[in-house]
Amino acid sequence: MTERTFRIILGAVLLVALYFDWRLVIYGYIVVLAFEGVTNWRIPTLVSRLQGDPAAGSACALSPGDQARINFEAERALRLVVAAFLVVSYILFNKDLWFFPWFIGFALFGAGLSGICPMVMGFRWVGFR
Amino acid sequence: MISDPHLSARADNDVQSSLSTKISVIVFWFMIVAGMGISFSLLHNSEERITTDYIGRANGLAYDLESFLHDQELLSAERIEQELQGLKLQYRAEAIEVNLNRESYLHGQRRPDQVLFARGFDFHPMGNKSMHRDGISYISFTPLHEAVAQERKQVLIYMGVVLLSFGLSLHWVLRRILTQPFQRMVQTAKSITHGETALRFPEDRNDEFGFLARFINKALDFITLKQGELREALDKVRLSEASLRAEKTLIEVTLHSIGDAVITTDAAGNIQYLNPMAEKLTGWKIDGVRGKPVRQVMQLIDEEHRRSVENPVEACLRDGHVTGSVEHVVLVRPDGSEVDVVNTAAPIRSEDGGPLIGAVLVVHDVSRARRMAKQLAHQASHDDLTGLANRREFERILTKAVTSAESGSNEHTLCYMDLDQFKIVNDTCGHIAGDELLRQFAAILRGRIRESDTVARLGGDEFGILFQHCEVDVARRIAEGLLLRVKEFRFVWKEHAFDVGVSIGLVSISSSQQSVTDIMSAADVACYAAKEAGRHRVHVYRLDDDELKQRHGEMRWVSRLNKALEEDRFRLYCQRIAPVADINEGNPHYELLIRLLDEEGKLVPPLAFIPAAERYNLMTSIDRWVVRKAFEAFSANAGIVSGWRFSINLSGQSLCDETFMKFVIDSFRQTGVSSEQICFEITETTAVANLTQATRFIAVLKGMGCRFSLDDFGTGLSSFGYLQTLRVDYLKIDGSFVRDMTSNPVNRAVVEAANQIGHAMGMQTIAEFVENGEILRVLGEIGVNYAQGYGVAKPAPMEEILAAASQVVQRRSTGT
Repeated sequence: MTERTFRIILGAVLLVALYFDWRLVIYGYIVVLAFEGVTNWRIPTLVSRLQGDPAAGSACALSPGDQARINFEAERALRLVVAAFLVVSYILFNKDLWFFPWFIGFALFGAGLSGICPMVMGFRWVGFR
Repeated sequence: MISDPHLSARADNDVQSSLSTKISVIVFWFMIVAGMGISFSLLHNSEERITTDYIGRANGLAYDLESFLHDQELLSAERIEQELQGLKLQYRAEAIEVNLNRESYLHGQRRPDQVLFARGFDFHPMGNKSMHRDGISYISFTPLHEAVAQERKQVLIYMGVVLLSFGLSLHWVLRRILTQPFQRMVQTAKSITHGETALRFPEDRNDEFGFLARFINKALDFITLKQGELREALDKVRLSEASLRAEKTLIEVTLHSIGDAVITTDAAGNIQYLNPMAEKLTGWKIDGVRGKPVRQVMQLIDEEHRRSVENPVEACLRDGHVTGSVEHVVLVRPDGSEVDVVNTAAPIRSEDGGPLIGAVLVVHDVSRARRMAKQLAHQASHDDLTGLANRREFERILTKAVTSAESGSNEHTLCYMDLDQFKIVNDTCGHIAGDELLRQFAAILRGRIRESDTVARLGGDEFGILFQHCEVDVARRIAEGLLLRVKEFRFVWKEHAFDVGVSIGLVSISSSQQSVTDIMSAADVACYAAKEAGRHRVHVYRLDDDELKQRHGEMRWVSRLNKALEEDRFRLYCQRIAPVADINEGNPHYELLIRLLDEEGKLVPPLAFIPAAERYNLMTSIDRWVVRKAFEAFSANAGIVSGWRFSINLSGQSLCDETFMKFVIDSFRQTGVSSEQICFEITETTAVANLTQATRFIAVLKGMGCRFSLDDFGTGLSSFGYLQTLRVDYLKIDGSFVRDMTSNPVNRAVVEAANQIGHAMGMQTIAEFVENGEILRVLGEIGVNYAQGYGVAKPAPMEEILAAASQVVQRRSTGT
């Protein structure tokens, strides 16, 4: 499984959960992303390894290249940031930031479809791996 | 078309994340942002709108309910329930409650957070206005926040689906009109880059891509055409390059293997190239001198004056033509060592007559040739044995001295020397010892002269010194000092030791002298005079010197003798050697004597010209003449002289002449003269002075049957040891002892001793100068075997003796 596919799944799951207002699903979603970000046991990587494809690449096109200055993977940072955004916008300030989880869902879905993830690109531009 | 792997790799990477991706990014993110914006605008004041909607629906529902109640004749609960159900669905209310006549009808579920509207109404059942009733209705709608949330979801999902569809459609369209043709072009470009040069961009479109494709295709065709031309040109260039490389290799190999140093410079005279020989010759490496001025590497100086000479490259670049080297140029290396060189610089032009672009300098190492030339010059001007100057060099220097003296301001002195005992050393110890004596004597001479003087070996044991700017008196003192030094010197060779003497003749060289020949002759004469005066002394040449005049007189004899030999003006005389016991007995034995018939027909005795002939090396010629004439006469009168014996005098020069013995042997063979008839006389002095040659000569000719006499015995050395070496048959006692032996008892004793020695050694003795019968008688008493002199017979022309003998023979044959 590639990160791109996983991002499509993430976006779709988030949008469905929001639509049907499956709060527990969204909480679990946040937990899974936080777990991936903290442990770096990312589902696409694990699945790829289980499938015998150790070189699961990044989903993001327009990669800036291997010029990492920070020893932290951009995909891992993406998980943490998404989880944090969801905690803030869905749990803490949902009344004011009700649109933000939707934005995250559409953004993840669009990034998966287009193969372009601006946040990962930004992280890599900053210096993440 | 040439495929560039670097270009293709870079292009592939760029294209991967290029246009389609960017379009996707732009489209999707534009849609997301636009959808969010549209959604926000649509959801703006959604609560108010919903509330208004609720109000409208509540009013409508209340009106419909009131109308329903107006028309009803009989209100039943069932009918009201049916109506409420219909109104609830129609106005999407969650619950409707109606209170009529204290009865309440509720349809739907009531929740606390629902939006509740109360509407009162009154109606007249069946239209009967007299029947008035009133009631109130409570209409509950979905709670406002739920309605807003639902609206948001619907808007967002709707917008998401619409914009996603729009985005996909837009992406498809963009892909069709932009990305796809672009990628086709990119793919074509990749294929062309990878070598499919025949491929062309698709020209089927009429848009910008079609235009670009046609433009690029034309450009490609043009490039292909030009590429073909360039390839042809490149092939030619490669051929030319290969040819040039081959020529370059040839030139480099030639330059590397050439024996001369080759240096090339640019037009400014800065070095561009050194071949290995040039590096070896100059002591510089090309990396160290490239770009440096040639004069820095080629430091040339004049060999003699040690001054810098102009570098030929500079002259060549300045004058523009080939420049040769001046002679005797020396190249100074960085380590200070020097090499004799000759060099030639030639200009290099870009084309015939074109501007100068540099110069090539060819340098040839002539050290060896110059060293050999110097060596040859030294050998030509010096004596190998002693290392001194030879006669030629000495005469050259002497000529310069004579020239410098002609002005009268300079006076020089010529010293002519002759070693006194050289022949004795040479003969008794061999040539090696003689050579060593000459070397040691040369070393003595070197130590006695100034640097400005010249010492030379003039030949044999003769040496010369030219004292430059030295008066004859000063030279005399130097020569006397030399005599003392030589007197102290003893030449030792193995067990032999010799006292060596030197006779020195001095001649002043001044303006009065005439020529080098005259000066050399005068010095020779002075040296001879010193020798004659008792050896080991100095004799200074003076114009009024009688002795020297005599020597000059002898010198004049040279031409007379040569002329006499040419004109055959010598005559042979014979003097009888008879047995002392009875002078009329025995086979005739004659000594051949020579006379010269001068230009006026007068006979000249031998004493007048023999000394000159000996001094000027004419004795061999005279001896040959005697042998030839005598043998011819003997051969012509073989019948007459049969049994006769003739004594022929030989000089020391003939003994030393290697060819003379062969001449004698050939003469015997050619004339048929019996060797037993011939007795050769050698003086004691000559035999001792040329002991080796004399011994060999005697041994060979005695082997053939000839006999030998030792002439003038008693006047030579006191030692008689050599008599055992010289295997002679006769001992001729010198006439100076015989002449007055009758009145001089000492001479008589000498004659007796000589006679006894001769007999003791198995020789027969002959007394010379027997002038009367008294001497003959005394000789008889002493026991001398033969006598010769006027007392026996006077010398007579050989022709007369032969004629007389012929008459005797004829008389005998005729019996008269």
